[in-house]
Amino acid sequence: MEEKIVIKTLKDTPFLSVSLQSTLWNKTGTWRYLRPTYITRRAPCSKACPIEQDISFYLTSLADGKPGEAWRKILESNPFPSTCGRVCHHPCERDCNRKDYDEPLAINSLERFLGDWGLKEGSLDGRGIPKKKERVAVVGSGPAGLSCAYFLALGGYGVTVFEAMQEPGGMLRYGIPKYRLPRKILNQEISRIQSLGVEIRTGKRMGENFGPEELKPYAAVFLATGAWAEQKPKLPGDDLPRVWHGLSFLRQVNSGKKILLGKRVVVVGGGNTAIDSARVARRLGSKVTVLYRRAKADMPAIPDEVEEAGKEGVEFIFQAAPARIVGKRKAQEIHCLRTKPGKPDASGRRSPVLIQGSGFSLKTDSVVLALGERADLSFLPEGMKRGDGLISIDPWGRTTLPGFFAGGDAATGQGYVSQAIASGKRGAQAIDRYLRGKTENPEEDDREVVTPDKINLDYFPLKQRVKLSSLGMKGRTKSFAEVHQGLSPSQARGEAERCFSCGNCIQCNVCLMVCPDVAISFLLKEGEYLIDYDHCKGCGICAVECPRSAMKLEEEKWNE
Amino acid sequence: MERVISGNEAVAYGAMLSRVQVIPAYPISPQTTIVEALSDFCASGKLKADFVKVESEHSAISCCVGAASAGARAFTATSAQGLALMHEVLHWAAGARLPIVMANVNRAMSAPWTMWCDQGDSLAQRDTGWLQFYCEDNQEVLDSIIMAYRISEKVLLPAMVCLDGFILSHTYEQVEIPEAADVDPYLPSYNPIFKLDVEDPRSFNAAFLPDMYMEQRVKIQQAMEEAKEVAKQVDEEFGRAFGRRYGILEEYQAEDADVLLVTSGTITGTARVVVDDYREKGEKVGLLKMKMFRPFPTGDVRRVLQQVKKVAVVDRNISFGATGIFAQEIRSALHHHGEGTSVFGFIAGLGGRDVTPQALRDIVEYTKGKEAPEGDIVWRGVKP
Repeated sequence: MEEKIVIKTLKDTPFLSVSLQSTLWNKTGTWRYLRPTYITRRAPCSKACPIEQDISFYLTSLADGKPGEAWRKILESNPFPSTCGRVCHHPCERDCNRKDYDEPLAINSLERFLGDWGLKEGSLDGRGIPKKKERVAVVGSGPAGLSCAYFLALGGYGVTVFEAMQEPGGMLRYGIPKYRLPRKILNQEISRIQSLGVEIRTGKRMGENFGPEELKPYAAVFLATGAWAEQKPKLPGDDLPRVWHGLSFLRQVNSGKKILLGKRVVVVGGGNTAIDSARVARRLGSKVTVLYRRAKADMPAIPDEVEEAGKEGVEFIFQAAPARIVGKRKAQEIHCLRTKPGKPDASGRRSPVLIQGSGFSLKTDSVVLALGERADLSFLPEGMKRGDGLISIDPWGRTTLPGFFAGGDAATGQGYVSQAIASGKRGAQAIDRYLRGKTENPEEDDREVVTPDKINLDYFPLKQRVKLSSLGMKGRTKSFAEVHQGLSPSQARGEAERCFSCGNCIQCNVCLMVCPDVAISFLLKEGEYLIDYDHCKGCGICAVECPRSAMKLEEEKWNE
Repeated sequence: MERVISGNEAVAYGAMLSRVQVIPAYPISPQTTIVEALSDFCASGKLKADFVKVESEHSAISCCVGAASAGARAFTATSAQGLALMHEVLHWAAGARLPIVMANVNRAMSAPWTMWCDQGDSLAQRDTGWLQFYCEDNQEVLDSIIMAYRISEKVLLPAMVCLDGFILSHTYEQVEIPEAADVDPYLPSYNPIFKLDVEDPRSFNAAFLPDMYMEQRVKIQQAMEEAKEVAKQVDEEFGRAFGRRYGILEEYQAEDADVLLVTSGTITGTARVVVDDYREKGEKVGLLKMKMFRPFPTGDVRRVLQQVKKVAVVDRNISFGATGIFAQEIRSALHHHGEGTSVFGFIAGLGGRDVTPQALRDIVEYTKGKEAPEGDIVWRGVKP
């Protein structure tokens, strides 16, 4: 202050104690020992998602009434939102921070809504992508192979996909029944990948009608041949007519073949193939019993699918295993034994032990054995395989052979669609690095995950999760029509508004409003907040009050 | 528009017509229906104001201080213990020269638990630097709220408009509600010289050392003195605009009176009837209605009372250990200025006890019959 004001008379005395000039010269920020900054933390849904989608980012756009923006954000990380929105096991919802507050967000249904919105309204234009000279071959057009092809195409690579079957899609087409994934949706999502210039050659089976020499022109190869070989432990009577194996049963139904099952069907197994087979058999008009050697809680199948099967009239017998199938000219009866949990196996699950003398039998007209799948890797040299029958890869999909990468069921042994997509995406990243001559791994997302205690619940009114409407039971047993209906635009927006946006600033202005020093402003042009550190005293109210943990406080190191 | 409304509704209409911008308020009987009416006005969009639900009267008046500091026209209302809880902030509002207007629905102080009327609550705040006005009927209540903003914003001191609990607050009377189009030119928007502004930040109310503080107190007293003249002008202009005038005090049949009643609040209405009765009988009994209590209109009180031999002050309040508060102030005003005037200090109607025409006649008769009061306090209506 340059001028000292001296007041000598009553008349000169101001009526109010007020500074006659601005107080901005007073840099109260020097009092600060804690510094608030904005930070993007990771939401638990994103951490749980195999594809690591930034779910809250796209839901923020949807809640703002911008489905197009949301859809484009999804396509940055997932080429199959409409498919995943129907068949994903959605671990995102299991870990949603909202689950202990009221109910988890219906993320899976929102993904489907946005995916379907894009199929109707959106368009993906790959013309602007700068092209690279290398071409990459992908073997297998399931979710892993096509995802790898998609991300490579987005990166400017030319891609050729070799597919053994007559149509692309792999298990999405030949494994998953239509009532879960209508083929029109699948075809549209595959077409979108092709629209980026991805070439798909069908009827090309590795080791049968094409071989290594055809892969020579390609700078890199991604192997995603899936797990199509069925586990067939020896069971007396499994060679009788009307005894099916799950995958081939599903493949035939999904290929449109007519199958005669009879009045009663027993399905053996507890995985997704078993539940899909059971629900397909219901739709073909049979009475269905599922036989599983462990307890209900041990089933590897998606719990929602098990529940829907139950609703559709599928009966379950748990802790029982088949001993033999008997019948004259065809399966007529299945003899079973009760089981009890035994010692934990390598996976930590307790292996069931047969209880001798507990035999019972079920009358039946057909049996479907769905006892697991494995990869058929007979076309590969031994050095590329692991002892457990999978392709040997590192966490980024690199095989033991330079230039060869692998993913999906053949390499990971994981069975969910989203896991296959994730492995395709990681493979594409690794291939890009390889082709660009980079040796280090792509960066892993190691951002801190927002735990529920970091959410400021005062800002979130309780609101129930959106209710899905589903097909009535009559419609389910007679047709393969899709069971679950999609959300309406207003339902989707309302549900998206429930999202806490954990760790993701949505510009709610709470920080700006609570700052007692008016030291936070919003820059309209940049679309972000600016903290005036000349006057921020570091009280920390902004960071503590932030509803979604998108700020952090750090100690100032003034002396360093 | 003429309507039959309660005193509390009259307060709410007065605030709405004053186009108040921020209303932080906390409910307390008998003030509650003011808060209800204002929140309805805000909810329906009739009044474009921020209605702030607060957790106490201390917060209500603090929020008013914040709003007024930022240049908004702020309003609140309370009663009794609620007003007492505001006490420290009342000083701040005056010292910070913020023209907040508050309605106080007069209610006796507890303990014991009570809800009924006397003036103990507002008169206990007489030294906080707030202007104080006491109203006789619902029309005066409505008009006084509007006039209070004019006076406050001119002299930059807060104002309290007081109305008797239940007797006015919950009693319905015919009231002329002025048109907004007529009030707007009478009460233009508030534009303070200094206000909180993030674009031009300044330090407000920072410490004054002993070499500065005292002058600032003198300035408040000067503003209080100015308020007397300002209030008269504002009243005159109100009369021209709306055809009603009140003055800062009112003489009723006071000329040539042998006995002059001095009243405030609703006792005034009763006193008018009693005075008329005496005048009909040819007895020279008159009335002085005290509307303005702070600043105390010392000069006007002297001018009127110096002419009168016997003055009967009716206080609905008591300063424990002293006397009725109006009597105290009047005696003080007449010291050295009214040697021939005898002041009788009656206390009646505490805690809502009725002050009937007969009670006032008894007061007049007592005053007529004695040369001087038997003590500084003459209690009326107390059980034998």
